[in-house]
Amino acid sequence: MTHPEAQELLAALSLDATSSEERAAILAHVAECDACARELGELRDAAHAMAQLAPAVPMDPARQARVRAHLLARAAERAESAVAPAPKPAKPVAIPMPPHRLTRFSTARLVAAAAIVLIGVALAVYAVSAGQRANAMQRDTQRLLVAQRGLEREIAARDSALADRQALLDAMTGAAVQVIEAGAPSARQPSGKMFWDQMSGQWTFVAHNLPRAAPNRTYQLWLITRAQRKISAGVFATSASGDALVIAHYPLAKDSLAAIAVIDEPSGGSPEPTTTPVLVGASR
Amino acid sequence: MRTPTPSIPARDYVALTNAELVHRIAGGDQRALGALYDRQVTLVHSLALRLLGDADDAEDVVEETFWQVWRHAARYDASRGSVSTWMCSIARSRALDALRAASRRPERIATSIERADDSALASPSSSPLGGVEENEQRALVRGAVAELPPEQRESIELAYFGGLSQSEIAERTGQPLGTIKTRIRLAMMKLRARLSSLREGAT
Ligand SMILES: [Zn+2]
Repeated sequence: MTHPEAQELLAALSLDATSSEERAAILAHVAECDACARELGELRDAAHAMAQLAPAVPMDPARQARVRAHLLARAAERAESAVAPAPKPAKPVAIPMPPHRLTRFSTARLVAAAAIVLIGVALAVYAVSAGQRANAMQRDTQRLLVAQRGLEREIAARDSALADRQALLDAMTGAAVQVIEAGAPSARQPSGKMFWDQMSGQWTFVAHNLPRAAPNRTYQLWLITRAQRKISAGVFATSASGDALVIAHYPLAKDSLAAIAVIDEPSGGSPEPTTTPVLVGASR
Repeated sequence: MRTPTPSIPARDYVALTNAELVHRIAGGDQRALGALYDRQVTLVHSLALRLLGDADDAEDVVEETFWQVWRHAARYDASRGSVSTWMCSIARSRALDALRAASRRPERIATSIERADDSALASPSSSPLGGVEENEQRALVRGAVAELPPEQRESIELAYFGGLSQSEIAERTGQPLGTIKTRIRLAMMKLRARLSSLREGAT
């Protein structure tokens, strides 16, 4: 993007109102152009001054005190763990992908079945724009925050010492990461988010609020291609609070993913899906 | 990971600028985090509540915003905007994200825009955010936005409070995309010029 083209779009960028493609291109220019960087900073100040248009509503004093106490407790905990590092947690399983298999299920049937089982579960897919340059990304904390959001809560709250966090972030904020989300309208319903790094072929899946699998049962993560291949991305268990993190490596051509699904299977996993998905997210 | 910064007597935090507090937070000073919280919590809460319309959701956003500040204080870069800007930007994207994740129904976002309508500008700044200085800032911002032609104001409010992109605004208002782009650019240029006096002190 040229300087004049970037200038035209800086105002929209300060409001996060550009398309993701425009955003990437402007940020790449801004990373190299001091004049645009300065102007963007000023425009962001002007944009966020609009926060002052919101009616001023002080927080309820009890809430305000509670959040303050909780926040400072989290900060203190983190400061301690920085001094005396917690034992390194078990490395998340990296499961080699078996060769693809054909099954009797069609993607359409899987998705339809899941929609019936999960009444009210919203499915959503969006793609993090591809082709961004690493230095542009580093210059933009905001974009990192956006990409981190999915992992931030569970990692920070559950295991602040997760040693692989940076590697995970890299896999989630890399040049060609697509995000496939299977969301739910209520905070209590199962939801999941897949970060597919199309460059490295790393799949990072985070799920919340999954019920504990029954004895002798396990969860299995599936990648379903447009050609109806069902590729296992491995089996996993949930934490006591229903969270899960799965990392797998499997190279897949950019446009060949149709959906991801989490399916309850017998312990040890199944060579092909045998029940209806607990979670499913369609790619586009 | 970070070398703890020794804290200073409580009264001295009051005298520090926001940027100085963030600098101390980056050094692991928990009292600086408390001081920044006390100073900025109402602004962050008001924005979150305006976007989400729910006190519980707003509380989550407030905590997460300050948690991000604690985690990433070292990344704060004053050349890219004031501390308030940084915090509002975290809070706003968290809130918009929560709206989008909680329901993929775009009308909820649209509703949140209509709910506010012109109330922000219509209501006098009767409830003080902070000190006198804070009120002056509010008055300045409200004055600057109120001076914009209504269609320009609408565009930037749809973007900021509705989380809509330029194309979405064009779709919503039935105006050509080029028109919306122009409105946003003109509005932001004027706002920037009118608010330039804030930049000096308001880090
Ligand atoms: Zn430039």
